[in-house]
Amino acid sequence: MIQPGFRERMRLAVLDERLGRALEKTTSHLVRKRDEAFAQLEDSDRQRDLARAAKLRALAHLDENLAAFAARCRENGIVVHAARTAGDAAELIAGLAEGRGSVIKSKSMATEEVNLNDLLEARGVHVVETDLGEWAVQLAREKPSHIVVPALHKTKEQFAELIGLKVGETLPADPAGLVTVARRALRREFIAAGVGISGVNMGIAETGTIVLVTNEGNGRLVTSGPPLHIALMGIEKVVETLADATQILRVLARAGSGQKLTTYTSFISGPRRPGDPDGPEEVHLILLDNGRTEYLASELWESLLCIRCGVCLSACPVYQKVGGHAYASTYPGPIGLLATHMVRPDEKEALVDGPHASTLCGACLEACPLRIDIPRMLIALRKKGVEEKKVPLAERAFAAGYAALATRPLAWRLALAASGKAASLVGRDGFLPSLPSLLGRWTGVRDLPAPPSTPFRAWFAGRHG
Amino acid sequence: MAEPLDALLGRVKAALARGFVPAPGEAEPAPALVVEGEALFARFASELAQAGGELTKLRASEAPARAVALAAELGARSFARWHTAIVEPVARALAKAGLEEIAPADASEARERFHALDLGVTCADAAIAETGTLLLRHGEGRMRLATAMARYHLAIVPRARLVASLTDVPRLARAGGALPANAVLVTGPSRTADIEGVQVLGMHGALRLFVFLTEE
Repeated sequence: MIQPGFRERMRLAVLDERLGRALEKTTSHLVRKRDEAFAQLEDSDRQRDLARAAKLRALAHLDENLAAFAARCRENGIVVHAARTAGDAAELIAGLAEGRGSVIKSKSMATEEVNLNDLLEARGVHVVETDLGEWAVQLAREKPSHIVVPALHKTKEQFAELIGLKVGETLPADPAGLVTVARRALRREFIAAGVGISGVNMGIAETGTIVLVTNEGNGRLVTSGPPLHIALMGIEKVVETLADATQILRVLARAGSGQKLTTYTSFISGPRRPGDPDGPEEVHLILLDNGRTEYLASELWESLLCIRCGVCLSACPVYQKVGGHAYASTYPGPIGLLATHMVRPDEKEALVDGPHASTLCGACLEACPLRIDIPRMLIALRKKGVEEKKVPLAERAFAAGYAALATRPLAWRLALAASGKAASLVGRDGFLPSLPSLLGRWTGVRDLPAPPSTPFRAWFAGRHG
Repeated sequence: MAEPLDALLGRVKAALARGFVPAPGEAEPAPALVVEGEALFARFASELAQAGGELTKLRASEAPARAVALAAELGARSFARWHTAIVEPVARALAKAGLEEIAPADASEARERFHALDLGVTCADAAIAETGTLLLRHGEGRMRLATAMARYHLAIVPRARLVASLTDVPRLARAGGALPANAVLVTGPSRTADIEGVQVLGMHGALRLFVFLTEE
């Protein structure tokens, strides 16, 4: 089956009015909350600088920091593995989980990235998402559409239907009531689970600690109840010290949801110790590469500073109009365009279409707590697309033609004069409503002012000889 | 499947050698929030309220009776607790008032029996005014599931453990030694806004968080 291209998905998304209303409401709310939270933070610019500096230090010495992190984790009794590709990571986790009973998961982009749930299900492992939005998305057999609010595209009626179907009752579309039902249903899964799988928000090298943040408390249940805890972590999530982690926490929730901190921040430094009344008996950590080392070795390294707060999605005028599913990727939105290319570097859509799904307005850069320069990197990817000749021939030919004209003054003046004459033939009321071929798409939604019959420089020379 | 860690580290080192990641500056300490005395208490009270927690200021000796009154108000019939000196008198009072203490022998029993646990009673290792946050270090006698599964969480915190700044967390989490296997920062009750952005409390963790800030 042929997948519709990116452009077509976006077109369909824009036509979906209900989606548009949900996006408008949620994204404007999240951006406003972020702005309020940073206005309230004492010395917020400096706080952001320090958070960025902490991530930069971690990346600049990533080899040493990863080595120290792994060593400390091992001392703490965490079994540390490394997986080069998405497939390797998923296989590794499935191998650890198989035969250990059912799996409960807390929200993890990394496990989405490696398509873990599909593999576990194929192996006959019962997997349940515990984040309410992720559970709804799982029940609907869909993918999440936002990093922080995975089911933002679903109405309360849809939630009621999905959860009702699952528990075998007709439920009213009342959020509080639905939460009560969900809590009970998911609690049963939690009690029976043999394995808890989570992501990692930060890995602290100094102490061998996994940091996990949630609002619901499912992260705590998933990492405290079942006898086996498996955590999957992108290698870029390492930070050097507990102090660095704290500084990043200072900006993470403010940016992502406008809270000072998320409700729960867990610091996990190993399985249960002798005398501990609860906690898992085994903790496994998988370090995931899947394109990160390639990005580290390029001008796109800056995207690895991302702490996955999700605010760039909410701030982006493109995301605001089309939502997460149009991106058809684990990672939507501005940072998603980079992360998608990172994990799918051989995919033409990721290299060519993705980076063009942006107006380069810079709203993402402004909203980002760490000031990651996403527009710069999107331009770099666009350039790469041209250099690797992945951009359509017609577009490359047009650009080359334009460049040839623009660097030759005489040819340019002649072209200007000719265009003035041509415009007087096709123009209407001083505008060019449509142009052929490539330019047709551009003028399809814009009216281009027609070039005047006398070029400006001729007029100026005539006036001011 | 898995690759040797050294292979990953080698790739990372080679990637860094390409020279794209700029050299970082020296680490600078993050600004600490400085607030003292009554202003410290006021800040904590305000932040805790904003986060949805409920604060009671009282003398330590009043805590048992207040806890019993709270349990009655909530209709709580069962409780679990930390085994610490601060919690002990409160636990005794709750048991005497007729609440059933669920004291599981191990973690798997805890998961089963805490299914409908009403009240989790703990102390806190610190209260942080900057964000209205409690630090809980887990370990011997300090069960995680007592708060992770309870409908209501009551945390008893001596005023002396109130600090101003998040920058104190590294020191406090270590408490002079190493980090425990698990510690958690709790900022308000459990919440979700996944359904059309409507805030609902008590998704998986506590529906309500009560803090008794005690003075001698």
